[in-house]
Amino acid sequence: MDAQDYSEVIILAPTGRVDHTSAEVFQTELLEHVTKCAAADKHIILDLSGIDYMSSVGLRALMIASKESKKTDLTIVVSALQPDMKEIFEISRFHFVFKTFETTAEAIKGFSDAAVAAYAAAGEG
Amino acid sequence: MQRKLQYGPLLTHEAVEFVEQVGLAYSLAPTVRHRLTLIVEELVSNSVNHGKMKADGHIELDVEVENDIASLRYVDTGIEFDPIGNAPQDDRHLAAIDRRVGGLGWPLIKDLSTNLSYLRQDGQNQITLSLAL
Repeated sequence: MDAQDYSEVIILAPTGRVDHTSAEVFQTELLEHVTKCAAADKHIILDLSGIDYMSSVGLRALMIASKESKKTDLTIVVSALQPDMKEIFEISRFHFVFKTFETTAEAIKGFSDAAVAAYAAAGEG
Repeated sequence: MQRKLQYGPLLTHEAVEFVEQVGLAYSLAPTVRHRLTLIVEELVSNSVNHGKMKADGHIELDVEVENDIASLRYVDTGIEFDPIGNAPQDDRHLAAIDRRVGGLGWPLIKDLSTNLSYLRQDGQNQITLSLAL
């Protein structure tokens, strides 16, 4: 899972399918990032633009990550859902679990000026 | 198109592969393929994880496409389970903190399909459902 550091924000950008074969690895990696970010006082933007399929095992991993984050001050937001993923999120009412943004550029605006500047400096803004 | 698949470690993979073949055979739109794949993965996962299927068990998949409707008949040899009357309690309306981590499979199946029906017959669970094309 690709991870990029922008001040107090980490952007995680998993790719591919999260299904019965890959969900376990997805969950393990995601929770590792949650633990690390909580310890480092950082927040997570989960850029799901590279995910084109997620079954309930993947949603379960996201819910576990959300519950873990609630034990700390860590914020997780989700960005850039593809249309099929957006449908899955809507059915599962996951927009009540995670604040979601159309783009990652929009999502990072919710964090510090330093994070926005670092993101822009990387040519992403 | 029909397929009978024996219970085994590759069952879900084989079922999803069958759906991909169906998608190609009927030139289904990507969104319909996505929905059908998701439904089948959820159905098979439920059979495997909760159906207590025996080593000689199997599933059957039958997809027909007609008049802008894809119809799926899904059979498994697991223990009796009526998803319409007995699916896990739907907690999607609750605050995130109060929701369970699981139980998301059946809501996906129900909301992505129409005409969901269940029948227990000859020691098998049979689920039929439709998808608009």
